[in-house]
Amino acid sequence: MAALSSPLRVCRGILKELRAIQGPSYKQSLAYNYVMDQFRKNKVTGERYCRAQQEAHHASHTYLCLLSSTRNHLALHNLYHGKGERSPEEVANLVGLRLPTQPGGKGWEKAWQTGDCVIMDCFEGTPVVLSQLCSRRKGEGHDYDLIGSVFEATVKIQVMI
Amino acid sequence: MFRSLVRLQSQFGNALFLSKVCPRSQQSRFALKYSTAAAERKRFYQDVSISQGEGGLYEINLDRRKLKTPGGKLFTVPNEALAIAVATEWDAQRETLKFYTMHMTTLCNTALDNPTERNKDQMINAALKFLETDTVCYRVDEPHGLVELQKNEWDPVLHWIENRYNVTIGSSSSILGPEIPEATRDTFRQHLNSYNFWSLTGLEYVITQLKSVVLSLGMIDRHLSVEQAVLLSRLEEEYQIRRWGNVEWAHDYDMYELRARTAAGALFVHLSSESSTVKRKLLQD
Repeated sequence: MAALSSPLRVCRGILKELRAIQGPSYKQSLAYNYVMDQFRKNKVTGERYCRAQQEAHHASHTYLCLLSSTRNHLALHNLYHGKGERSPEEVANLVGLRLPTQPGGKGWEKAWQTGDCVIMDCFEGTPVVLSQLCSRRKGEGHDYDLIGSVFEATVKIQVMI
Repeated sequence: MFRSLVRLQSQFGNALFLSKVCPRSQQSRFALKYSTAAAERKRFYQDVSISQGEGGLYEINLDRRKLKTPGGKLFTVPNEALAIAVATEWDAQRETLKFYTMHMTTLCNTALDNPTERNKDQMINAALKFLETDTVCYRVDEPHGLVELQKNEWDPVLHWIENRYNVTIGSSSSILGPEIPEATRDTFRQHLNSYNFWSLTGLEYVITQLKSVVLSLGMIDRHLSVEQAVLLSRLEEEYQIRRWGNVEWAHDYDMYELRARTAAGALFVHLSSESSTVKRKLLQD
């Protein structure tokens, strides 16, 4: 016979789980009445070996395990698996990284806004807003037209909508 | 530009309109046929109660409606305790029905519908197949700590079951596993034959969870508690956890799930096989 905790503890454990499931009105539930009934019927009346009582004890212990494990499993499920996929920020956070939020370095003069056409400057290796790039190039004395600039400076175009 | 936008909108609108009419009916038919754990349904009832129907079988009532199995049969269970356990599961659901937390219901559904259409012999054979690759019979040669742990933890259970059923099982560290004599298999087959269909369903479920006939019978025979059986089944994992640390979202998650499933299976076996005799004894007291 496995070493189980005492019937009283098991009984209280089950009642605690039932309360967690059904809230304050748990005393009106079917399970409450049945469990209390069973525990009352199976009280030890003497020293004699009573197999039925051992069976009931083991069954009650199993039921307690079922209720508490289900509750814990559901809690962990909701905490870790119940929300679907994580966002990129959360994923980066998990391994101790942060996504770039502040624009910095060359080519980041201004963060782009919704509707801007953003291209990757392959010389600088940084994203840049297309209109800003054109105006900068013009300011530097180059007279690229828009198409030429894009053709020369991009490997990839990302359009932010 | 504007014209194209209008055209786009009208196309989109059409698509929306279509999706309202035809695919939805398809979807609901699909949901009815395969009501899976993935598709969450709202809790459509307030009260859960049980009632005794024809032939002394117990039924579950959700408000006024009777619960049915996924196969469309009336959901009936042989005794009150099982009915209460199932009713409690339905009562435990909050806004949506989470079928993956309702193990007793699932087991009853399996026993009632018998979706794989197997008979007792096939189930016994399937259960005994696990004996050849029983978790506690396969030992490792290294590392030393794990070898010791397996010896200390698994040997007592193995000896217990060998004495209890008067059989030889043995353990081995070879990839072929121990040679299990035909007599052992016959003894277990005979023993499993004494279970009824319902308890055999539960027993097979427990065996597939614990991956071990020895541990499952040890638990059903009340030599082990659920926690002990699960611990022994996950012995190597526990060893690695002790060495490398515990990860809550993987290790604990798995452990609680395994415990819940195993406990449900064990309770299902007890309630569907012995409960009526136990009750009669109690009433005499």
